[in-house]
Amino acid sequence: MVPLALFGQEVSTTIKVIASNDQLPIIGATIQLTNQDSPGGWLTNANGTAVIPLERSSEITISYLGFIGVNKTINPGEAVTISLEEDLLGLNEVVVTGAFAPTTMRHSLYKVKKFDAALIEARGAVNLSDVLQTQLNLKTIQDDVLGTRIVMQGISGPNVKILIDGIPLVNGTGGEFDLSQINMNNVERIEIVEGPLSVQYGTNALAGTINVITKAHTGEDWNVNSSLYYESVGQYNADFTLAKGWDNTSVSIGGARNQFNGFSSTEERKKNWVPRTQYLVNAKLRTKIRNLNLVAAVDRLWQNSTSHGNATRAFNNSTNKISDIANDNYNNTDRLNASFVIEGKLSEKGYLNLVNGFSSFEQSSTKYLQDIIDDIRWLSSDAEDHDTTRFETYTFRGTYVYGNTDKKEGLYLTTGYEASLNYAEGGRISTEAKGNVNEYGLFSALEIPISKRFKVQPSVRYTYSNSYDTREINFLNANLPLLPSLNVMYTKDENFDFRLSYGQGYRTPSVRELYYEFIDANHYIVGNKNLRPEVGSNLNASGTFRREIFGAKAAFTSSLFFSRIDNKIDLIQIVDRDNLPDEVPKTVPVARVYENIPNFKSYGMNLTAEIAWPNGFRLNPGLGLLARSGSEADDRFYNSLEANINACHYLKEWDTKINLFYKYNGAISEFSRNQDGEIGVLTLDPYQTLDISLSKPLMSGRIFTTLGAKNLFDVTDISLEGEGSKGLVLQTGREAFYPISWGRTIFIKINYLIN
Amino acid sequence: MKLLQSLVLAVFAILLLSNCTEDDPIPQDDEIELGATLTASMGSDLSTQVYVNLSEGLLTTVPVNTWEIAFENNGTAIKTNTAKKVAVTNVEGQSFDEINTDGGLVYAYDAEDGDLSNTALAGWEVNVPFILDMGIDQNGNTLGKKKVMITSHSSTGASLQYANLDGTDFISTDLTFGAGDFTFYSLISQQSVSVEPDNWDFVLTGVSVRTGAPCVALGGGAMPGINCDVYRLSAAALINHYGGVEVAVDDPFASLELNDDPESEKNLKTIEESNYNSLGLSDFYSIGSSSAGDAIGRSWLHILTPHSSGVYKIYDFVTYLVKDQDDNFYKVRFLAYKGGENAENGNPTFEYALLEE
Repeated sequence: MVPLALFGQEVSTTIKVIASNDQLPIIGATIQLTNQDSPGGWLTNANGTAVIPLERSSEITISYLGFIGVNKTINPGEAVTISLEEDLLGLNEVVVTGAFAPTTMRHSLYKVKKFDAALIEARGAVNLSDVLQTQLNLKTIQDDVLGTRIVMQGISGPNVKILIDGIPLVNGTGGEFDLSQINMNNVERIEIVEGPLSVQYGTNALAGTINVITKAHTGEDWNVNSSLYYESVGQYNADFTLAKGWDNTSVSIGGARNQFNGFSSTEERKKNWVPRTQYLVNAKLRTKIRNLNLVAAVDRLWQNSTSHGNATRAFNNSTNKISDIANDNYNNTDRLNASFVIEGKLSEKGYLNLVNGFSSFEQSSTKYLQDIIDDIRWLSSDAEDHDTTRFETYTFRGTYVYGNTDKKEGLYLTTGYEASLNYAEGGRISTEAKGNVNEYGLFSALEIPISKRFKVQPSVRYTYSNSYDTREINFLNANLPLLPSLNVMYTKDENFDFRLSYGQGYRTPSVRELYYEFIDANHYIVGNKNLRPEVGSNLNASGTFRREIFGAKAAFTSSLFFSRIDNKIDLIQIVDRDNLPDEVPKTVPVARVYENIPNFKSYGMNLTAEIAWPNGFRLNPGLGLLARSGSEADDRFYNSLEANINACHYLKEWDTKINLFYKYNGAISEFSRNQDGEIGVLTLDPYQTLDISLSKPLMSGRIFTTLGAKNLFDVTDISLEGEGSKGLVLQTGREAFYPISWGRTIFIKINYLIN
Repeated sequence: MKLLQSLVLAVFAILLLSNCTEDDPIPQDDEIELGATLTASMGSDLSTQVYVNLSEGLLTTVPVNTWEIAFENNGTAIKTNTAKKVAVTNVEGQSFDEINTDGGLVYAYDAEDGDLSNTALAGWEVNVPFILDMGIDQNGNTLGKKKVMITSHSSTGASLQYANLDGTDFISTDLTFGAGDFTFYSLISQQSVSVEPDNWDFVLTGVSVRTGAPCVALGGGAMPGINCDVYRLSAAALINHYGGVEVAVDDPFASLELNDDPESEKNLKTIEESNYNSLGLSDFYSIGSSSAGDAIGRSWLHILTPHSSGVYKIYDFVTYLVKDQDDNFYKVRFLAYKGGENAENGNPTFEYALLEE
């Protein structure tokens, strides 16, 4: 503020900032001169006031986290009181997914769904699957071997891009991500964008993108945080984080141990939810060089899980006795993610984001025979019962945005590159898989403010792959390897905005889909090196209307989407066993191969509302309708209905938050053709879930406890009706039910914080 | 082959002896006490047959895919290898040279009871050609088809000629009947092979079993091998009825329905309800014996749902009273189908004891 003194007499001007709902002073609100370039400013004191020297009438910007910022012109010597309104609908919250530079919910061209740490706590969520379970358009599917998979807008896991801090994660052995391997203990928020973000993130981002944003330590002191979690099904978790900050630098390290004892509704030895123990460590270093933020992060997960088999009568050679013997598979998973990000402003109008990431997944599987009567265990002598498979992904992405990213005004021009290098090897990968499946992209986007209310952003990505012909994307039917997208946003005023996005997406056949080779006495599941890439297109329109009702701020959003995927890759039953290779027994119980399906369609509609009362009561009801079809269904559509209500209330006198999560999941069908060309339909019955929780800080905020009950309707297995063989239930074999949950439980989480 | 066979016998003898010298675990009250217990390693793909000689406690292991047809040494019957789905179809009114396709023809298999008058080649005639499906290998791959004609047959031998359906690979051969009950012939290796050991009582083997409807029941809609007359391999114990072995079956729950439901009444019965310990020689006569090849057959096991899990119920409460060729009497019961090093299917374990007065 030194230069101002050169121009004339400064007059002390007093500004008091209060909250509009309770008229209490806001401590620590930031006051800045609106048109200033330097980051300096003033903070309000314990009375909510700040005294600033002004020499002439100036516009100032007053902001405070969780409140809607205000710009006001004030005169020197004035004493003004400014009332800030709470940002109940989160419009000014920062989002990073989909946008090329960080922006706010209000300004983002994409409708971003956001789940913050408070929601994660209130859900008692241990992993990503727990958070997503009660959300609209999302389904999580449990498998005893492959873990928890996701279905978004009726499209399954491989088409959902999963990112941690913007860095793609390598999928697991099932070709899909196991959501239970992303822990929530270090997560600040989760952002979800439905529809393709292929220009931004390349392959896989067809159905949608889930970006997990991890916590970053700010401040200049020590911070020790640990928590304990218990859930009555048999989950015992503990985690610990230690962080220290300096001027521009912070370091945090953390670790966690999660133990789950497994669950089976059938009381069998074979559990639908296998017992597992996870160990996690993470470390993050942040520093700032001029205006650039540098973040290096690494996290690692080790998981031991055991898939017990059912014991059956057998003769034990070693004891010479008839006994009950089971096949038990011991799986060890080692997941490593590392990243280095440089991000920030290079100049007033230049924003740079360089992301470099590495993600690896290694799973080893060992089969033991277990005599459960004499408790003797021995290793299977069959070599094909043991193997180790490894997947790796390197990602290098750079984005440069030219434009006034702070004020979110004017033209933005974005250019960027991305390289994605993928590699796999091991027992279940064909030796034909030579080298990498690599993909390189160049992208560009231009955000054009046509008028104050109207923005459009055309964008395009050029892509090249070393393993298939990207011209199959066939842009404009001209064999161009280009992916287009178009975003349109209309903001009438504070109370109405409308977004339209059209995007093409694509997905390269993964290394697994090309070269997988799981062949043993019971399985013949193989990749197909002749697969073609999936090409999808998606149209998404959503409008949000905000108004006050019954003293509450409310936002009503309705959205429509339509998506179509050509050449969708699916695991298909091999019906004609005579085509199996000679060395494969024709009677093998499971014979499947990856194939392209000509087309797949899904469309849907969502109605959601967000209603927030200033007294702390919030209500989020939602309704979703999904219809799916495609060449496999003779264009017959299969509908599915969903509804949810999330409600929470803050009881001020008790300093306690009450949360309720309800979801109705309508029947959902999977369809496929059988050998006669008839359509087989397998339908999962409807079910509903209800969770409640209470959360309360104790000991002046040092302890935070959450106590709750999950799955009050005691849902466990949901039946499947009909004849069908793939899709949602593909991996589960031929059982007539699907394990949805482990029944009613209570949980408690205690979080202890030392500052 | 003789050398191999004696080797196999020797190995088994050693195995058996070494089993006996091991310290037997101390039996506990709630455990099954075993008598002489043997495990026959057929392999989960049923690629091996195991011949059982009860009086000597001998198991002889023979690979399945070594022969297609077997000539009765002291008669005119010809049997086929049902352990690998060998089948025969007759071609009406065509000469050997004229046959070039089996289109539309229905294949026949040997009767499951081993009745020599009811084999796939029952009623064969000299110089009348037929088509032989050589069955499958251990992975289920088809081994191809030959047109075959027996050109002469005497009490000491036979001459036959065979070729591919297109006439290639023509072979004409004379074979001399050897010792034993049958002379086994391989069209693949074009020679006689020795298969059966001496003095066996029953053999654990795969057999071709029809699943689903017979084609005659479907009339015009019948598509043999597709919607009817579909044959698959199933494990069975076939007695040496040709050698005079007979079996009486004691099934305390014979009246209960046999099915694949794990919760059905029969499938819940246990070895505790077996009469094994109390059965005596007189029971062999009072129950009444059978000399059908499948007198034991597949009655000691049944697959349970879901079939893909490959779990079999073993009817260990059923006791088979066996009269061997030398008029020794034994009681036999099956205890498990899983066994061997990795506790896999295809390793039936049975116990037996001398049947006392």
